[in-house]
Amino acid sequence: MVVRFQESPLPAEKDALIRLVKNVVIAQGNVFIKELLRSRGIKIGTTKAEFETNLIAAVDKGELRREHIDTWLNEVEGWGNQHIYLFNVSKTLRRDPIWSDPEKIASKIKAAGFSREWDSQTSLEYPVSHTLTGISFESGVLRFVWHKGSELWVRDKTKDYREEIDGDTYEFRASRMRGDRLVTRFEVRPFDGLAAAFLQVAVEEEEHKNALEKIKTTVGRLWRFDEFEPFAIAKAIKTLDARALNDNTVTAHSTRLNSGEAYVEFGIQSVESSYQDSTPVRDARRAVRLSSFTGMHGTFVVPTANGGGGRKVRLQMYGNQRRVKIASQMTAAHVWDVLGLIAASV
Amino acid sequence: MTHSQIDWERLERSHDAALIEALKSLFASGGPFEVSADTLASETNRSEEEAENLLRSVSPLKPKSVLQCPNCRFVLSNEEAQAETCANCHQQFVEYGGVRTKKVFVFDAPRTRDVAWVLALHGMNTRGAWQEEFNWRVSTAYGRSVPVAIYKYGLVRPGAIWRPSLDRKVNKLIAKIQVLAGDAGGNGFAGRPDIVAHSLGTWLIGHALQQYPSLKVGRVILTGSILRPDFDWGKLLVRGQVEAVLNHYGSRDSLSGIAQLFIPDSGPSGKRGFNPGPDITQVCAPQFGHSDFFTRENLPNVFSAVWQPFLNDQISIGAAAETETPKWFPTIWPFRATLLPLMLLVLYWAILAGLACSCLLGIFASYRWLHSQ
Repeated sequence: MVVRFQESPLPAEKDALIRLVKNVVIAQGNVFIKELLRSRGIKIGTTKAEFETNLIAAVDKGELRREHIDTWLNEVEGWGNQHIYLFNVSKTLRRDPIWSDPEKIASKIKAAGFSREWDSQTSLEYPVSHTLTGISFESGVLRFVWHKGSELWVRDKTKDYREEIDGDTYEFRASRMRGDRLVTRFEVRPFDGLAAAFLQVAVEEEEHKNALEKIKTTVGRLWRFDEFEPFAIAKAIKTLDARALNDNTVTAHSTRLNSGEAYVEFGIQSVESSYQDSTPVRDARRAVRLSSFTGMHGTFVVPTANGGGGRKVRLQMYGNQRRVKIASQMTAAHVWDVLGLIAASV
Repeated sequence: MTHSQIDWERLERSHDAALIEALKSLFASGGPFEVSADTLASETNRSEEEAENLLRSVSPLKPKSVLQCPNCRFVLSNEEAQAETCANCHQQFVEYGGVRTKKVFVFDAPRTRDVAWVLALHGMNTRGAWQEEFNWRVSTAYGRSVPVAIYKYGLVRPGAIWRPSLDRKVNKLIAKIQVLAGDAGGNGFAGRPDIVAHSLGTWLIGHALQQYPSLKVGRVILTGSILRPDFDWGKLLVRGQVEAVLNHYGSRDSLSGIAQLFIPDSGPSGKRGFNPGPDITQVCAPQFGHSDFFTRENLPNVFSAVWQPFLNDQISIGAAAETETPKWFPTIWPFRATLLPLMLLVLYWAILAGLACSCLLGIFASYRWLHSQ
């Protein structure tokens, strides 16, 4: 990733940064915004409104610059709160000598018609459709990034009002529009033998399918997409559930096991606890012979760092859709920690 | 306060019996649990308010607020509740009146322990009829299938005093455990076996663990133990070969008391317990003889009151010895299964030789008598 430094922020850059702060930065999780403010020695605050005021003041004073936000956004924006499709990189592709030569990768990508996107600066745009905004290869990771502007309507009851029109009473419910961006990524980690597509678009929306197709088409210009073999999430569900029986670093929150269309489901109505804490439910679970079932759905609470020392996050896994959902916002490194845990479960 | 200290009689005077029964059954299952008033009341004809009053008056239960999405009722973590939209249904919380809270009551306790599978080892001079009765107890004690492997090595009489014969049995036992562990894993019951051993079975499992550091088992229950009271359980616990040990000994176990005279490297741990030191659980059964644990009258109570809690309860790990036993010293060398077994063996072979000679003389005398006719 090339980061271009400037001596002092130009007014146009300042405006773009303030717009970015008001929308994209503020939309990230509080814990990560606090981290950005703390790392730059900027006054922190406690609410989103205070964060926004302090961030804009820092941009005005030149304490918060484009390169700081770029680095931070790359680590935070679009990581977590997303759907993930995990793939195994084929042996042929893993063994391709191209991965040891960044120059060759650059040539291949440019030859495929992506010169403009190759090593481009972090996009500050809000494109109306999913647009490929960058491709980079750094530390053995090939990363494709798409952005799409979105409108988030934040309900604001204080602006509600009623009005009498033609003898009838109408109620007007107010929502404030906040510009937001959805990030889609595809990352190839040939040395780990893994690749993953990361989508923030809700799975119920048609756009989710379109974004996935877009990934396949784009990556397909470089390699046949069947070089990336879909991961058996159903197996990982069973392994993680079995692991949770004897290992308290993973908490099984709910697991649904199918035998054809019939199924048995274990679960608990609590975030921190495991259904396996209950002796009678665990006895019932122990009576299940996993080899007779398919792991259809699983929700686990897992550590974000190996060894269990990190923050714990909720992981939802859907076997038949080969999809993983992470509900919490995380950093890139932590998301990959969690994916490593899943990969090790198959 | 633990659940065993709850004054149920006092609660019964001021709360509905059906609600109390429902709550008791939750405690009886063991381990931690969370329960809300509506769930507790649902199987009774009492109201949610009455259930909540009961839950409030049981001191080991602590009230806790659970955060829920007001739209889809998805249970939220604190972090998820701070977001604007639900992680599950993607609706804004504010649209539906904000994040909901629901009250639950929590009993905080360690998770109970699971028994993966059990290996039952009988003693000498018996084919272990108790093992079938024990198998039935285990099969009916859990709400799932717990495989019980019954290992039978046949009657051992003169062989018990001969070390090479015992060592062969140790080797066969290790091979059997490895085969069973492989089968158990393949069938989805992977895990270390818990061991219930009696008499010579205690000697075999103790020596198998000492001789093979790679052999690992779960919890070990010893009855009528003939291991030396200074047997080094501490080393096996430190090496992680054994999870925990319960020595259930009988104060009238005379066979265990004299084992050291006949069986090499043995002692009266089944009569007086192990020496103080290793972090093992020792329970004395007063008036119990060598095999009294397995009578039809005693086994149900022994299993439910002592063995089952030891196998399932996390708390019992490392429990201190119930009674402090004085340090044991082996008897003097000539009486320590050294000369006596040799003498017995010589006597045994002498008797066999005498019998063989008598037979030969008898055959010779019969032959001469037939020729003289």
